[in-house]
Amino acid sequence: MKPDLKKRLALGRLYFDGGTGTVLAARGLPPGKPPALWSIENPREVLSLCRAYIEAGADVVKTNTFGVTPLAYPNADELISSALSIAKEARGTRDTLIAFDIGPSGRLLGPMGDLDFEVAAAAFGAAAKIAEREGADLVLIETMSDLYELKAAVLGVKEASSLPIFATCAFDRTGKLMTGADGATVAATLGGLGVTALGLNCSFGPREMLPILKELRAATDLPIIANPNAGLPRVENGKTVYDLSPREFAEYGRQLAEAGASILGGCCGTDPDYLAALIEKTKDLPLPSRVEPPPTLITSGTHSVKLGGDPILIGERLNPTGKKRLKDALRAGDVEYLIGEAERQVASGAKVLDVNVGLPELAESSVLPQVVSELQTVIDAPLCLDSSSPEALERAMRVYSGKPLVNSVTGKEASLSAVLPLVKKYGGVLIALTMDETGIPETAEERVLIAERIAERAAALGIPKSELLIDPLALTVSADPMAPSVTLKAIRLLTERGFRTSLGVSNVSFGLPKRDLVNAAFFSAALSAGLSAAIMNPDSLPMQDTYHAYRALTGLDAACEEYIAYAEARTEVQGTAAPVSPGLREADAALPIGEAIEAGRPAPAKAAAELDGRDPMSVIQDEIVPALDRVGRAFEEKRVYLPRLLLSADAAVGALSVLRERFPKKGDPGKGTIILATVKGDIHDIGKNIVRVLLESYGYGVLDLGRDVPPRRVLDAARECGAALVGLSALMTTTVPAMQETVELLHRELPFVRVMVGGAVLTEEYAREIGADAYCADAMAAVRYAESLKR
Amino acid sequence: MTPLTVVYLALGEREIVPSRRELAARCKAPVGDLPKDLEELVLRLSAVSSPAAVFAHGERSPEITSLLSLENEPSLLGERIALFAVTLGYGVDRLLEIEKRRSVGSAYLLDAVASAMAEAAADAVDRVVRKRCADCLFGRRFSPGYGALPLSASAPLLSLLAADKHLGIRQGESLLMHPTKTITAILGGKNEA
Repeated sequence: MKPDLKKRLALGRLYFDGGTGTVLAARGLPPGKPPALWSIENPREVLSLCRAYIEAGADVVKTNTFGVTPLAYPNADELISSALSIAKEARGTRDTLIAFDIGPSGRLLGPMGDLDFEVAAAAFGAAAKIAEREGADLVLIETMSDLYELKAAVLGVKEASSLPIFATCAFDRTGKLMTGADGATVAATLGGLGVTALGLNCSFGPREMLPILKELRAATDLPIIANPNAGLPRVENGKTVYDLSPREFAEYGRQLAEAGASILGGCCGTDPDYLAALIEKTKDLPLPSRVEPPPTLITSGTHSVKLGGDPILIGERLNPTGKKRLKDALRAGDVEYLIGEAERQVASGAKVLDVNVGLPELAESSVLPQVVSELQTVIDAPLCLDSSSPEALERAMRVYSGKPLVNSVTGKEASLSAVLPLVKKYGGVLIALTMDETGIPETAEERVLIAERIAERAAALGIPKSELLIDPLALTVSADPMAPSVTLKAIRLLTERGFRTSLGVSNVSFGLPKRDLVNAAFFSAALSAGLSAAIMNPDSLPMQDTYHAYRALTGLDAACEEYIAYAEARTEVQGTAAPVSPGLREADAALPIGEAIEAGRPAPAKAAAELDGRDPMSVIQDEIVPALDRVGRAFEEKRVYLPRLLLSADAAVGALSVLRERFPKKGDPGKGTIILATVKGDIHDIGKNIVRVLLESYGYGVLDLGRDVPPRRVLDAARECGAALVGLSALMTTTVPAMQETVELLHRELPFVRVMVGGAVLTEEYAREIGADAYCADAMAAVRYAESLKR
Repeated sequence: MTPLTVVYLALGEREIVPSRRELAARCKAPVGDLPKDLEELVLRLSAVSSPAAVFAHGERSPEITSLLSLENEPSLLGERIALFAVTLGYGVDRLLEIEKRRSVGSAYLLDAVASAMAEAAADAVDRVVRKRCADCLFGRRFSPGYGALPLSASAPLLSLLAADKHLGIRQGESLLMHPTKTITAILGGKNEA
């Protein structure tokens, strides 16, 4: 950072300029034309606006480059250079700072959208590199409404330039980003990524910004920016006017300054008059000062969890050590199972989920980021990225959508020099294990020394002590009866020295019967010693009992409300015998499996399968398949409709999943594997999923490649598993060409493979035109086609 | 040419309650054969949606005509024009994504119900636009990809409405919009005599 900028931030309030697009529109920019094009087509207007802002008192002017990256504009270089030379000309010999303005890409990042994270980061970086070359003083990433894209932008700019980064977001009227992140989550994630200042812009107006600004302020001690709109636009006598006059705008500016904004300016609807009024009203206000340090937060892409004070539970179940079912799921790439485990732990009260995929036969550095990517799409809880491989950690930290907990670093030189720089670059709270080259020290004092050494090394990189969570290591009591007291003493000493601590509690009971009893007693003692977080099994009742009772006893649970709620729910759990499938009514329990499937009742179908002691193959052949056939025929004859057909298929799949546990192979081996995919460019997968579940319910093995699948991947998969049938789905006219390309590639390379296609835009004729072997109007048609090939 | 003013519109929960007819069409089942728990799905979706819209109206200039490729759709060639984008928000997409991993059947229903709710939201915006432009007689609304209005018109339409800035609406290379339960539409109108 230029020393100049640092000094100016410390000394006084900085003022950004105001709106660009709205002013240029009023000066004749045609509707629909991006303002950035005027840097080349009408530079005089842009220059005159920039000059007016500097004359009105702006300390920082934004370049006219909103939305310009090489991704969106082939002539990005020219647009950026022109915008910078205009800003430099307007500045003349003054000390005005020039902020290179970056806006959103206009596209959504994967896996939900079609823009790859790395492609986005590289595009933002390339733009910043041009701007740095042309003399920008800083980068302003603004109007971001998706935290994930914002992270890509910050990383891209950091990697391509050395310019300081300011970042502002547009929050919606619920006080969150469009994709769901709250203020604290945004502040913590940006702080972790090392931005110089952060805040708000655009949105609805300064009044609506006030509560969000306070939320940001509570979560970070970085300088806060507020660049609001002049309210919302409306039409008056055929002219566009904004809700707020310059005077009203300035009054809200005062409130924003008093609430903690140290950098002010404007966005849509504001012009040099607004800026002048704002400066007049706020220039003599003192800079905000902070009494308490900000909290330590870890976040998902949407929510944050505070460390310190109230202890938190970190779910340990997503770690394959000693868990056969999870090992199988990881080997098979069964993400669904992982998501189910994750959801279950969250429901049991885990606030953070540890994710470890360390299996000798798995490439951790590609599997960990993949699993993280899938989990964060549907799980709101922050993740604890757990690996001993720095490479796997880095790749997972990169794709992670917020500020993670990172597990872990040790006092070993190799670990310190590999892991600390990752935390510096990507942000995160780091679990530090008190061990080094000499192993785990026997005394508490020596473990504290290692913690202090790690903290020093972190501080040298600018990572404060508050971003560390020291794990003084729980060792097995059956091997060393004094081990637990050393650990407890270490927790006490660390707490006294201002460290926060975490512990993998269950190690203590290794080799003992009824381990939960020992774990719970140890957990209780550790909490009393000051433990901030426990990595544990959230399904363990004794551990949960301890946790809830401890919180009630130490004033963390006001009026014991949460304890009472827990205790009441717990009684119910104890009173129940075997687990009963949710949603199962008593009268349903006796429903025969075939009837349950025909009636589209998943819970009773599953229950009936659980109770059925017959040979699983004969249950499938004599009950499930005939029931499905009856529903399928009724569907074809329009006696029942799609919703019912699907519920029946769901019921059949549920029953099959129970029966399958009694025989090893997935699907009926005689039926072979069918490959399904939604084609490149298309992310509609409901139709494809319906086909999958119906095929599965008929006993086919299905390899579902997901959506947005490139032709080459379909081919590779078909070749690898020797599939005889491939099903492709496309819902949009724009993606049918990708379907045609896939069909042609398959036919060219694998002439014996049949391709069936379906999707809303297709017809029998269209399907023939693109070379498909079969058009399936609905899911039953796909089953019938597959059955016809078998014969 | 005077710039089109973009007006933001927040919608209430009641404005996204779908009609039974729309539900039946989306679920591909007759009204009488609709599953019983659809109301519950509407409530679940309502809880995570943040329905909002932007709309703009004004005179139909030659620039707008060519920008939005209106040339081949005669009913959009009156003196006046209105455009809007309405979305249920990203919370709905997230819920649909979660449901897909639970059960294909209920994910299908939830998606169908969400589509019906987006249609209800579009109807609500349609009504507001007609009310605010009482001096204009609008024909039926067209969404890009319907009639002679090409799908490619959706990109300039979103950009005219600054729909990314106001609603976070993004568009991929295949012109698919995010949030997925988003509807864009254009109405052509005549000045009332």
